[in-house]
Formats: sequence, C-alpha cells, structure tokens
Amino acid sequence: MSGRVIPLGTDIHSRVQALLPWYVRGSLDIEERARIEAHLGECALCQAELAWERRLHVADDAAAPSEDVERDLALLRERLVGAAVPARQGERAARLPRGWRQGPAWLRWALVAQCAVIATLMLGLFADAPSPEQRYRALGRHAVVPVAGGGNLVVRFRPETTEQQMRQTLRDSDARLVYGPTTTDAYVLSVPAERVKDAIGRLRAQRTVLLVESLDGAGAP
Amino acid sequence: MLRTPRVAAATVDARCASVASADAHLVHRTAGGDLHAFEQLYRAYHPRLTRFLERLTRRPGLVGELLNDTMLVVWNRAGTYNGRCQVSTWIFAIAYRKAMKALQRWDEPVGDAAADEDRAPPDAEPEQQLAQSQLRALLSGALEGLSAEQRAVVALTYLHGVGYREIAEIVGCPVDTVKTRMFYARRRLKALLGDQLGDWL
Repeated sequence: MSGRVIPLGTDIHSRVQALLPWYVRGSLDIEERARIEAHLGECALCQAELAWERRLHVADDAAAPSEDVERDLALLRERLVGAAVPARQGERAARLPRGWRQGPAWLRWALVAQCAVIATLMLGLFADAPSPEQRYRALGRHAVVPVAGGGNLVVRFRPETTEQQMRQTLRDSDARLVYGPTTTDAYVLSVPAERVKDAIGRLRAQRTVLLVESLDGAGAP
Repeated sequence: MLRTPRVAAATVDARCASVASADAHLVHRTAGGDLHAFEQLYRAYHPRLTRFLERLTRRPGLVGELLNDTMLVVWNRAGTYNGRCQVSTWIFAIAYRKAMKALQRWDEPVGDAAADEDRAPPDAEPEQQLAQSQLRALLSGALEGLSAEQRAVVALTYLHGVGYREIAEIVGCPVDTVKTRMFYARRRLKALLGDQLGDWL
C-alpha cells in the first residue's frame, strides 16, 4: 500500500468507525471523544463496531513478545566496538582540520610537542607490551580479554584530553595503565579487584572519560 | 483516595512528560558518547521495539537484528535528534524505516508458529495457555492478511497506544492516510476473523 489517500466514506459512520481503535485506547483528544460518544449514543451500528473493537483490543493484549534484552545488547556491544562515536563528536572531529589550519602557529607547535611527550611516555610505559594474542579485543563483557598485567577495566578518553589530565584521572581513580591505546583509542587499566566498582564510578564521573567498562562484568550498568 | 478523571489524566500527562524528558536526557548523553546512558535507553526501548518489529515484519528471526540496526542508528546519530518530536517517535520512525527496507529485501513468507507457542506466561494455567495460544494463532493469521503499512499502523495503535498524529510522523505520511490504513485494516481483520474473536473471549 502506498502513501496515497483513499478517501473514507463521507458518512458519519465511516468517520466514527475509522477512529474507534484510538477511541478504545484513549488516545483521542477531548473534542474527538465527545463527537464519537455523541454518535455512539444514538447509533446501534457503530455500537456493534465498538464492541468488536473492544474484543480485538483484549485479544491483542494477550500477544506478548519473546525477548532477551541482555543477549541482544551483548550483540550490539560487539558492533559498537570500532564504530564511530556519536554524530556530534564526529562533526566536531570533522571541524578539527579547519580549526587546526586557522589557529595560531604557536598553538600548533605546542600541540605537536605535547603529542611527542605523550608518545614518549607511552613508549616508556609499554616497553613490555603484551603479545598479539594478549591484546584487548572487544568491549563486551563476555569477550575474552586476556591482558598482561591483570587489566580489568577499559576506558576511552575524550579526544581533547591532555596527557596531564589522563594522568590525573588515573591517579584519582587509583588505576594503573596496562595497555593502550588500542585501534579504537581505548586503554586497558588495572585497579585492585576490591576497588573495581569504586573506580568505575570515579572514572564515569570524570569529564575527560568517554566510556568505561569492566572487563570482568563488575560494576556493569 | 479517589481522584477525578481530570486529576488522573493530569497525573498521567505529568508522568508521560517526565518519561519523555528522561528519554531526551538519555539521548543527549548518548550524543556525548555516554555508553551507560545509551544502554539505559536500549533497555527501555527493547520490549517496545521487539513487539513493534515482530508485528510489523512477521519474521521473529529478523527482529533482533533489526532492533540492533535501529539502536545502532540511535547511537551514531543521537547528536542529530533535535527535540522537535518525542524520542519515542524518533526511534520508532527509525525502526519503521529499517523494517520496511528489510521487508523489501526479504521476500519469503514466514510463519513461525513455534515461536508464537512459546510466548504464554509460564505461570498461566494450561487451559489459559491453550486459549491464549489459539487466540494468538488466530490473530497472527489474520494480521498476515494485511499489508506491512497497515500492520505498522495496527501495531502502533493496538500495542503501543500511539495516537494517529504521532503515527503519521513515525511512518512519514499524512494523517488521513493513517486513518485510511486503519479503516481498511479493521475491515480486513473483521472479514478474516469474523465472529471467531468472540468465541475465545
């Protein structure tokens, strides 16, 4: 059926009967209800239609869906790994090159220097980087994530987060950097097992943190 | 304490407004990359979208994938939600478009009676389970006789209590087209179900 409009009958019965499904479910406005009730009060034909509509309403309520929320959500989490961040951030990223070109030269050099410092620090931190089979693979809690050094959290920072802010965030959360960045700019952190939930709460409260997930299911939302 | 209908309606309206506001807040947080907010939204909409997509597509095996396709769009495009319509309208419109595209691609007939039979509440009496199962089979067969567009209007109206103006926004057609689809869907259902509906109630 296309979007074309086939005119309903011009008689009052057709117009009332067309609205009965919404009348029975209480989704008409007051004026429409009043018009229908005025007609129903004097029309046996439309009263019979209303009775049938009520029977259909009861029958349809009996049909409950089969559903498994957590199973479906786990499947979607797998698809979210590596997916683009929501549009607003994507748009911000797309604007970056223009801002980069238009910004003052000293700022560009400062950013380059900062990136170099971060890279140097990362190299130092990950001198004992895990073997390929030990790499972080997925955000899903069911995923197998054998990470060296006992990593138990995965975190993504906002793109604009500075190295100094990252360090401060880790200190505040009592977390230690174990591995990262992954291909999706995620970092694997290690926190004492008894403080995982607390650390997740602290990290989620940080403005610099885009997302944080437990790798063993603890503290999951 | 008894409440007048007007007070009760105002309470319901306030509750709906509160839910709508909470949903909009979750979408806003999702736009900022908040996975926790997105998962809250997912859990809130999963049952409703499941029912809608099952009714619309008549393909239980396709529902989970379509639902996740829908929510993936919500995740990726949360920043484009402008608040001009309710979050539910926005999300159902995405689901509707996904389902209609899928139906164009998948053209084989599907009738999953086994899946239908599994849906009776576990604590229901055996006789009640049998009656519900037969009733669902009856209704399911009748809905098969409707077009996908008609089923969408029927599902949104009967399962979700959505008004015809909002349905017009969701399916992207004029209000009169929604009324027309419902009018002919009802007529078709009545012809297919006849008096059998009353026998089960």
